[in-house]
Amino acid sequence: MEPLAPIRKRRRPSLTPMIDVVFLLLVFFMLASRFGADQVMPLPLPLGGGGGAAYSGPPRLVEIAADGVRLNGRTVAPGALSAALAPLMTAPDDTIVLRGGEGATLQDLVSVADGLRAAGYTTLVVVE
Amino acid sequence: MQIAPPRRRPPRESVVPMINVVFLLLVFFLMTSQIAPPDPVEVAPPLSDRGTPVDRGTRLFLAADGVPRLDGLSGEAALALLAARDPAEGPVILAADATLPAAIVARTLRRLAELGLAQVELSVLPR
Repeated sequence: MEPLAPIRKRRRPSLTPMIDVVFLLLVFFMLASRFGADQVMPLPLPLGGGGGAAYSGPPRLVEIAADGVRLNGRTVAPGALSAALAPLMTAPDDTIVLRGGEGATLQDLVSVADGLRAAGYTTLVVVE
Repeated sequence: MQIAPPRRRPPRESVVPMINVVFLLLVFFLMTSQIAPPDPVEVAPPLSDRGTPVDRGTRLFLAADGVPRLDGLSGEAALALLAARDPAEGPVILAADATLPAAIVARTLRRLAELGLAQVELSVLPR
């Protein structure tokens, strides 16, 4: 009779390859993913099909230039814009027209829009 | 003379707790993240303190050169692709560079209005 083979101790499978793969996945998801939602500012379009009410009331044209802000052609101090607009508004969601003049960047436009939004005016339309 | 028996080596640290933590991180990243295609151009959106979060939408890129880009297309082709898209995909997000002249942004907005869009969302960064 053949001698029985000695009982082998079962070796546990190595964990190292699994850890390698898991680390790889971890690094992939850390690098490839984008966290948090984008921050946006709604911008109604002037002649959008059916979007927003038609313009009504006195002219509310805010021109943004490199040297300052003009409301209906008259220069207004940046902090006084929403106060100067108040008598021209019948409701807070009345359309205000923003126009970027010579030398104004998008950041200038957004800063002015921020000020108007802070004052509660929500419908800001950007025109050429 | 008695010689102290050789000390036994301390047992090796178990790797299992580390694997637990790594799995936890992995599941966290899987759950909280969304895989985003890389941006076609480098865009630094304007800073604003009145942004609202939006979780999905079609991003139209407008870099400092003023050319609209979408899904590997640029110029008129990108705008045509935007016009043909399904409105159920969420709002159109305009990712425009903060240093762009406002007139160029306004021109692009007029082109988007001509495509029949009623509203776009301007991408901003929290201040």
